Amino acid sequence: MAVQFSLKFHEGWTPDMTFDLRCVPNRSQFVRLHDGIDRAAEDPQLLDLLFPVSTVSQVAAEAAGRRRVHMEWSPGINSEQREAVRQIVLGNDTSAPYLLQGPPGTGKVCMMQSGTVWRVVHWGAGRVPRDACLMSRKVAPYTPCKWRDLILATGQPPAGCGSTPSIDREGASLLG
Amino acid sequence: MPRPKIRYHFSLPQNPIQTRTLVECVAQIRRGRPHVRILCCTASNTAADVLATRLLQRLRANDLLRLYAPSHGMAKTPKALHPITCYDEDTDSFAMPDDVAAVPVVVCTLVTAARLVDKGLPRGHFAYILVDEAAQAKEAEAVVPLALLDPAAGGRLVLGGDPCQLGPVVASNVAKEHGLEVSLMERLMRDFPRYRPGAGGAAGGTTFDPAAIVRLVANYRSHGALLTVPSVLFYGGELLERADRSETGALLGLPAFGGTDFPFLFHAVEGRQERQGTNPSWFNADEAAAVLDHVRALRGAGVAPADVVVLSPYRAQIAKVDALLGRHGCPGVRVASTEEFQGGEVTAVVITTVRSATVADAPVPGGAMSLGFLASPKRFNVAITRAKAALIVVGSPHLAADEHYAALIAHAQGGGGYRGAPLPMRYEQKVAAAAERLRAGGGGGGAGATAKKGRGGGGSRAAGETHRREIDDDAAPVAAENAISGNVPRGEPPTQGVPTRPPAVSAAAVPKSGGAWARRRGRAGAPGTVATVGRGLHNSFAALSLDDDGD
Repeated sequence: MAVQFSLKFHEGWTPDMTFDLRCVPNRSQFVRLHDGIDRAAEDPQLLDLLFPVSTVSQVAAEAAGRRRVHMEWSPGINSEQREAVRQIVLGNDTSAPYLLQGPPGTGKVCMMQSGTVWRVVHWGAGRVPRDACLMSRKVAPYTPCKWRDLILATGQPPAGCGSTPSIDREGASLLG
Repeated sequence: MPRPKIRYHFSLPQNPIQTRTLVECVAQIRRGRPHVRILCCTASNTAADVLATRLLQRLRANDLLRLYAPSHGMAKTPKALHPITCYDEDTDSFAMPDDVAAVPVVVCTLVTAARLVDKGLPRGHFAYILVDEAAQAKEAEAVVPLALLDPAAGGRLVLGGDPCQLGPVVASNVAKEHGLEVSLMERLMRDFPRYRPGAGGAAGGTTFDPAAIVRLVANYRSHGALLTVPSVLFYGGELLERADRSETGALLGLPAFGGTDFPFLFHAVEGRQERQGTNPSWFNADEAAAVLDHVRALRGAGVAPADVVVLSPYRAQIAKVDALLGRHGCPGVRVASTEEFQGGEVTAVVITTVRSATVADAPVPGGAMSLGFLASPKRFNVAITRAKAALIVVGSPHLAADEHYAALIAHAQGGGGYRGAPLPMRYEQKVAAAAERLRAGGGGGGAGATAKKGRGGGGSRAAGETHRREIDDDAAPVAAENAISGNVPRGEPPTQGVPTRPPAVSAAAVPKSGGAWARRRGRAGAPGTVATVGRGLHNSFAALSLDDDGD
């Protein structure tokens, strides 16, 4: 188990101090999820959004398709992405969520990221109880953290991660 | 007594194109409707950081807030994002800016969006809520930010992701039984007709209704032969090969592919699955040896170690193969589980499936093997879609008992890429049926037929391009003014409680919390620093963003 201490702790620490160590699981995540669900359950409008009963409004759909709109596109946005953006920005059927499905390989950059290890200690039956305790701890990233920093800092994957960002074709320069 | 399970949740931003499309949406909304506010959420902080970084490349820093949980920790925050966070040095935590209501674009995790609700932002505060990697979020997470959306007043929820790949990680079987493992996006696509092909009278009854759902189908990663199976099994045969054949065809000369134009091999090995000591995980020594041969051949063909990845669902096999490769001159080749490699891509992939019809020297009674979690379609889909130029699957011919593996074997047989142990007689019919499905599902020269012929550019690809050109032609340029006035959804989001155009922020009004944030915001609102002296902060944003976005 890894325990992290703040700087303030180090300032006040002397070698002869003794401590009781107590683990307190963080429940705030569960509380927030429950609050979110409770709010949605009490709200007919949100329930309609989560369980959309209406079919697609043909009028709205056709209007979005017919609308002649000039958009200035950033380089590398291909036509199917433009269609998606147009539907999202111009479509006005808000009765249901709009979905954008991105199958594998419709991107082309290898992005290995650090992660968090979650260990679920106990989860009660049925509806997730408020006192379910979830213990999370941060561990060393699986892949060198430098990659992530590099991608985030430069917008480019590091050399040797298997991608070839220099290839120029439609939809290229993903991170650019 | 079952051992405690530890699951690893590696949250990988898996689809840059889809993220890119959402970023483009935000930029277009900012340009066309500068007065509306947008909330961008993801399931994980890592994905949110990536999204915020991309947004920062398109928008002004003043328009963006990357909101963290108070305890997130500055060290884990990418440096590039520091200007758009609200960090309080006194308490070493991330604070909620007092002027958060005036920020046009907020990026945070779904759970952290609860901070905005707690802050008292009203229903309808955000006109758009965009969720990236929505298929990796539990539904309970996805509903958290909805309290800030007012669909009746034109508020729009957009979910981006792929429910056909690995979803939210849920360890509890009880929670799984009650559906916590199903993301909101997956449930919507599964249960509601508007998200099914043919809804809304869409063309031919086979395509999606673009007013409800868009599927990005242009694949920039893989050789066509590697796309057929996932395309037909999971994406209605729609995936289009757009990768450069000079790159994806680079390994066709490998002996494993026998000089064919088909970089996919199913190497059938009648191995034996084993366990070591009390370790519950399986390994398969025969398959590990076959994997070593294939990796050596790849290395011999000049493929760099970093361009080869070995995938296996079982920890014990991963350890065995890793040790074997290290001992026999192939160090540096990564051996990983499917979960770890979701979102990754690499030139050549070797998969070892481990499960076999023989367990510890004794054949399984009846010869039928248990697939365990090999049978998960999502895991299958992720594993076989990582490779760019070569895919080698080392596994038992008895995998054909599963319909997905039957399709994989049928595809290998069709292209001359099936080697090793013969397919057991009783699966022949099943595999033949799968082959028929692949032929039919490829749809008139689509990805399936493309791979069979080993040539790029089938009929459906051409048809797809025609369709797309029509879409482009449809967008005849007219004045952007019309665009803005014409696309305002029914009614603007209500602005009660939060003035859309707050008065200019004077230096005295700058909140004390969040040092850098407050200083920056103070500068932004100070008269004279923007062209629109005396106008509201929000108006300044609008004016500047219109100028900035013209790139």
